[in-house]
Formats: sequence, structure tokens, C-alpha cells
Amino acid sequence: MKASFFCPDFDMATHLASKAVLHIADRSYWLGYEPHVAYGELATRDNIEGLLAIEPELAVLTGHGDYDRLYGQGGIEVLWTCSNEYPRTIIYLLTCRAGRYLAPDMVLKGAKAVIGYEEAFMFASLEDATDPLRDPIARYFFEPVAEAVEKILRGGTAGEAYRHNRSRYEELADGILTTGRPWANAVAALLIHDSEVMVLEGNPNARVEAVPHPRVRAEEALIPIGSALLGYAVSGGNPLGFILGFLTGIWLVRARSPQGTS
Amino acid sequence: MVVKIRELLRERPSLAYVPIAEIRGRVVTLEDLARLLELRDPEAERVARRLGIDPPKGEEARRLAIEFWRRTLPPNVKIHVLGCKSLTVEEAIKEIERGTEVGEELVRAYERFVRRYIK
Repeated sequence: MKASFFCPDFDMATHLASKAVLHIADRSYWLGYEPHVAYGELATRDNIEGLLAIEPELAVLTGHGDYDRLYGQGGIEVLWTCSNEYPRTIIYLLTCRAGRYLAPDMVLKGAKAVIGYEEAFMFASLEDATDPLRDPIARYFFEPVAEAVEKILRGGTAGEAYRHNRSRYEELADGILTTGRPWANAVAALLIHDSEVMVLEGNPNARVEAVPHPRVRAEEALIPIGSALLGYAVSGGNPLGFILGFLTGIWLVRARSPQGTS
Repeated sequence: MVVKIRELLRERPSLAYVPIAEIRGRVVTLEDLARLLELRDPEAERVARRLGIDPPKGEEARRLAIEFWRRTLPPNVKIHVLGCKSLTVEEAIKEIERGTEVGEELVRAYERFVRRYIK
């Protein structure tokens, strides 16, 4: 199963947003998807068409945007209303204003559901931020996006992802205002703004066709073997101890990678 | 009214710094307003009665939004807009003063914030 990610990187805003999307692409790999990424100089009109032509289960498209269009690397137009047909996929448009006209146009031309923003998507960061998920301010804006996309990748509906994203923004804004810091107001105002201008077009019950099995990391593969040997040793060389240890190890690995889609 | 504002500030102390109204030509924060109400200032009482019912609009909202971003956005923090650019606090204020699309969105962000938390 494929997932597509479009990430121009030519100024600070696109750099941080695209970095966040790259983290999501990496996560999609471990969830069992085959991520296809057009990053930086590769974020062109031709390549966005390629990313859509492979008929991904999900596409996350970022970059500067306007009501009816999306811009790629260097501010070149890559999508606009009436420009394309779209595969039956779920699209997250992480850009300004395109939720107003481009998102409904995508649904009209084939997309199952599109999450976007009908006014500016605004976020804040420290002036020297390089990684949005490590920046103490930018993470408030991108973690909820990553969580929402992960919900879809794990088989949740577009509506669940949309509601989760919005409610996380609101929870984070509520929480940050208890700190007593003046800057919390600026961050909370941007979070509330983003939440209120977020839109969902298309079918709120849309979901990926099938959820792949997550990939197992090398260190996780060693857990069942280690616990099997431990079980064998503790049971005094009993093969049943080996089997019980192995099964315990598998249970531990599964417990570390929850499959829930709530 | 002052009891309600004090309760709000106990729940969310950061709100103390939010510019909320103009009294005798001076921008006052929620904390300033609570203090004036404790002194039984008649103009403050008039403003407090409007809270949540008749929020600041037009030019007053614009002036308050400028003060909001000036007072709450630290100099080492930038606002990024995925529609055009990244802004320092001074640049954000200039956008509001010029009435650009981003400036208007920053005013609306302030208005949404006030509507949600100060009622």
C-alpha cells in the first residue's frame, strides 16, 4: 500500500512544514506503507502528478497555498482548481486557504476526502528552529497533524482524523494557558485559529482500503528470541519454557506497537 | 464581574496579559481590568459588562490585536504562514497596520481567541 508525500523546501515556513511531513512519511513506512516522497527540488508539477498517479491510499501535500491552488518548490504552481483528476484517496492539504476551493474541487474530481484549511495555516517556532517536532513551540502545531494522519494510516476515518486534529489543537491551547506565560497566548491564538479554519471535504467515513501489517524493527525482532532463550534457561532446559518465552516475546512486541484506531 | 474575571485568571493565568479593551484611550489587559473593577472604576464596569456580549470590533479590534501580538509574541519567535512568509513580531504588526490579507487573518485570530476564552 502506497502513501504519497509532497514537500517543497525553499524558505523557513516550507522547511519546517516539510520536515514535519517527512517525519510522517517515515512513520508510514514503519506502519507498513510504501512512502513515495517528492522533497525540495523534486517538489515539482510533474512529480506531484506522479505521486497522485500511483493511486496512494493517502497523500499529504504541503507547501505555500492559496484558495484555489498549491505551490511547489520555488513558489511554482503545481495544482490548481480544474487542473487534475484525482485518485480515490484521502488527501491532507497542509497549506494555507486551499481548503476553500481546491479541496472541494479535489473531491469533485475523485478524492474520497480532503482535510485542509480555508484560511491561513499559521504556526510559530523559535527563530532558529530546524526540526518542528523538536522545537518547543512548533511541535504544538505539527504533533496533532502527525497523530491525525496516523489515525488514517491505521484505518481510522477521515472524520475521526479531522476531529482528532481539531480537538488536540484545542486541548493544547487550553493547557498552555495554564502556564502563566505571556507567550502562551500567542501560541494558543494560532492553535485556535488553525482549529477553527480546518475543514473536511468529501466523505467523513472514508478510510484506507486495507491496513498493512506494521514493519518490525530489527531490535524488536530480537525480543522474542531473547525471551525464548530466557524461558529455556529459567525452566531448566525445558522446551516448553522456550516456547512460552517466545510467545511472551511476541506479545511484548505487539504491546509496544498498538494497532488501535480509536 | 470581578469575581468571574479572577476565576478565569486562576484557571488560565496566561490570560492576564491579554489586551481586552481601551479605557480612557489606554489599552488594558484582563489583569488591568480586574484591578480597575476592584477600584470600582465606572468606565471599567461599563467595559466589563460588554465582555463576551459585545466584543471589540473594527478599528478598536485592530489596535487591540496589534497590542496582543506585540505583548505576547517574544522577539525570538516567528509566525510562519503557509501562504506567504515567516514573520517577526514587528513584521506581523506591519501586516496588520497595512491591512494585508495576512494582517486581517492575524486580527481574526485575536478575535477568535478572545471569543473562545473571555466571555
